[in-house]
Amino acid sequence: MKMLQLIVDGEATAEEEKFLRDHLAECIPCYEQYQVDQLIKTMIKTTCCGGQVPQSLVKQIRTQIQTHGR
Amino acid sequence: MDESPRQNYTAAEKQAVFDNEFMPHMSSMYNFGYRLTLNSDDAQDLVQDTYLKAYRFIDSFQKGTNAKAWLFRIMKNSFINDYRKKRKEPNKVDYQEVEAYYNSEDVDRQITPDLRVDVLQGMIGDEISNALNALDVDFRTVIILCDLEGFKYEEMAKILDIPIGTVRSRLHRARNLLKEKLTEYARQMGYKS
Repeated sequence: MKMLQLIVDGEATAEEEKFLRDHLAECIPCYEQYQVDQLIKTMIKTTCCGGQVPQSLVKQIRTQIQTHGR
Repeated sequence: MDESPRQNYTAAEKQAVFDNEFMPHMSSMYNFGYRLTLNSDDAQDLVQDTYLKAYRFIDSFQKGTNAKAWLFRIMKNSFINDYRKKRKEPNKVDYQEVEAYYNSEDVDRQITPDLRVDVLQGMIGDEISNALNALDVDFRTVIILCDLEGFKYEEMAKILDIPIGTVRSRLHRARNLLKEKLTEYARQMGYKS
């Protein structure tokens, strides 16, 4: 169901939220889908954040701002 | 960001805005650059380009507004206008076409992957990251902005210059495609669907 992402993303209005929660309480396929979507969102957050920006780049940008930026 | 009134910062104020509002987002920007280009050198170029532009146009940034969204928008535009053109990607599909394709009813019917929670929990390696990288860049982008960076739909609409309705539908398609990929991996890992 397309609307499910509204609660996964915290974008549902109060009315939509109530409608969706009521629906999830009685529809097993949607509830399972909701759990999957929720988990994927969490996994993206924890596994796709990449590393820190290289310090050499930070330095380089600072230098460029100082020399050309003014 | 174009609509906001022009500021008139002193040199010291510029430096303060740059240090306090822009610098803290550099790792997020680097990661976004990497996810756009899938290449760490190109990602660094994009970050550098974005920050130099941000400094040059700092007077159109209003203190107290969302600096991160402002920077993401600059990077997105740099990616589209400079990076893509420079690379002259001839096989680059127009994304309106992609959108039209994935919005067709047929596709929605095909894409009903039956991924389960326990299957996903078995994916402890790079599966999620690889699946994300395998998506077309426009789909990859909405997932990163929403799930990784936590932007609201309205902020995403501004960053991407598209209506909120398009944000929602693109996100929905992107997630279906991602789940399709993950289902493929699950099969390769020996899970039965």
